[in-house]
Amino acid sequence: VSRAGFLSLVIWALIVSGLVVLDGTLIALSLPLVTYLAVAALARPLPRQVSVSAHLNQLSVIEGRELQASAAIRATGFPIEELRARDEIPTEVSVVEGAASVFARLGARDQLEFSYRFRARRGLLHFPGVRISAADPFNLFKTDWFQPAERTLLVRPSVSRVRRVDIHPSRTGVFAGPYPARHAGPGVEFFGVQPYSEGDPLRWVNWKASARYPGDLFVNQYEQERIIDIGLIVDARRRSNAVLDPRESAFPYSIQAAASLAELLLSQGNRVGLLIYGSHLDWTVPAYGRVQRERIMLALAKASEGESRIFDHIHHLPTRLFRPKTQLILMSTVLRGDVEYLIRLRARRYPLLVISPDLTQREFRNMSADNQTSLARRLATVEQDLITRNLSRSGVRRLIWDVERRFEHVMEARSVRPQGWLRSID
Amino acid sequence: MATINRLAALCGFGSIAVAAVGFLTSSASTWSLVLVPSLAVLLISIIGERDWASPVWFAAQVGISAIGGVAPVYAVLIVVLALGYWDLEDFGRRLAAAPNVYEASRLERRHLRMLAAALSAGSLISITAVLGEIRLSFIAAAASAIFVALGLSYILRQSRTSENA
Repeated sequence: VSRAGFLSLVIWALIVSGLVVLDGTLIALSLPLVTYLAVAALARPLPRQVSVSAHLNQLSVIEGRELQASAAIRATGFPIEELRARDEIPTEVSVVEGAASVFARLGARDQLEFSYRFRARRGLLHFPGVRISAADPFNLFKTDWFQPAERTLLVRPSVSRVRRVDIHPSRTGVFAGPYPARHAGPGVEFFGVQPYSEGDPLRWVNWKASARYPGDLFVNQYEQERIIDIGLIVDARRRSNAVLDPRESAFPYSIQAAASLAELLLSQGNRVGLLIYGSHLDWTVPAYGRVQRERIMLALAKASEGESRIFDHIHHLPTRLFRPKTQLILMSTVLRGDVEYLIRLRARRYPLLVISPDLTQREFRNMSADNQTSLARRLATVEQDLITRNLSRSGVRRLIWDVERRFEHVMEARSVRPQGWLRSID
Repeated sequence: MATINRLAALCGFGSIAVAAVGFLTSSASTWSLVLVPSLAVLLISIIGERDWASPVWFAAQVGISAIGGVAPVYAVLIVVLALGYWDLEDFGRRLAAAPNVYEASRLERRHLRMLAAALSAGSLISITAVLGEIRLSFIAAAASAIFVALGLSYILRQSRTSENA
């Protein structure tokens, strides 16, 4: 029973009992209650007598950063004695300062503003509007309605500042870039030695090699460096991202890795495409430049884990989307059943680097240190080692990223190139 | 907030105190025993902060004032103070539940002013009616009751319509 209904019942009881026992005092006792009800009824709000405007201080933000939302509510003629306004926020949003709601009195033609700071998880988030509840001063008569004030926020995945990625593509593009092309030509890395021909600069002469063969001159060759085609593949299958803790998943780390690599590779001038393989295929056609970076970030922001009967196995990965010999980088924890297909992919001459987010350390840290846990940990490690070894034997490189460490540090450790003199020995 | 809670408690205990004085000064002093459970419910409402306690206590106080046999002026005061408690307790709860209250003290003052006006006007009308010895025939009283009933129904229907807006 609402407050107004309850009060009416009390008034009714007094009046009816007064009539039944023919006692005017009982009826008179109902008069303060009737007056109270009448005041509330006179001051009751009319619906939709406000205008709402709401905005966010940014349209796009990196996951984890704070931003501000604000809303202004203006009465359009009538006062509202008790106004409750609540900005409808998506579930991915957590308020860190202030509140997404306000309780106030709004005089005729008054304007009320409230703001709050929040953080949001990755995604394309929709803020539909403000829910308003207006009541009389005694909260007897309420009216609720929804006032649309749509806003969209793109929360991009967080990006690690990776400086280089250790890949060796078998095919390179036409334009100059950072990746060795396996062809002699202008470059900075030593490639080999060839006999001197007319026109070669004297500073290229390899004096040590020339000294071994008196009468002949040899010059150094350098390796050309070119841009490459890269296909980023994010494994969004739910079962491959599942870990023991249902609140955790390897998927956000795969997204972070893909975003970081896309940022780096596009800034180097490479052509990058993205395939998200989960409940469906989300394909971003390979391209260059900033616009492509925005396309990839949007796709990664919207990506979510999913299940599908068709894409449950990685065997349905459509490699035709990528040009032959494109360098593929797969972000996946790699299930045992995936190994065979990845080896087959390598056999089709796709250079493949697998980046596997590893949550094992984090999971075991929260467990008791008994014998069973220790055994389980060893088994998990052995299984992962076995997968890595099988892949490695077939030329598929796998980088296991312990998520307790920062992604850029892991990539940095794997990408340290030996000194020039050491490489020449190699 | 603290002011509202203090005033609510003042109204609650005031209503019980007036009832006690009313019973003691009337021939029905045994009725004062009823105030013990009423006081208990009031304490549950104030200290225990149970949702059900405040309306139950309010209805009980109205019932006590109606059938307890206290003098009409005391009865009106009991009802008015009980109504004040019921209102302020709910208002305090609404304030506490809101994470962000804009100009809270102004809102409180405004509410108190409106409540004081409504209760004063109600008490005045009620006491005038009690002391004025207005005599109505049964037909006139029944017609007035039907009029009030229709008015209440109209108000409730309006309130339901606006809640669905």
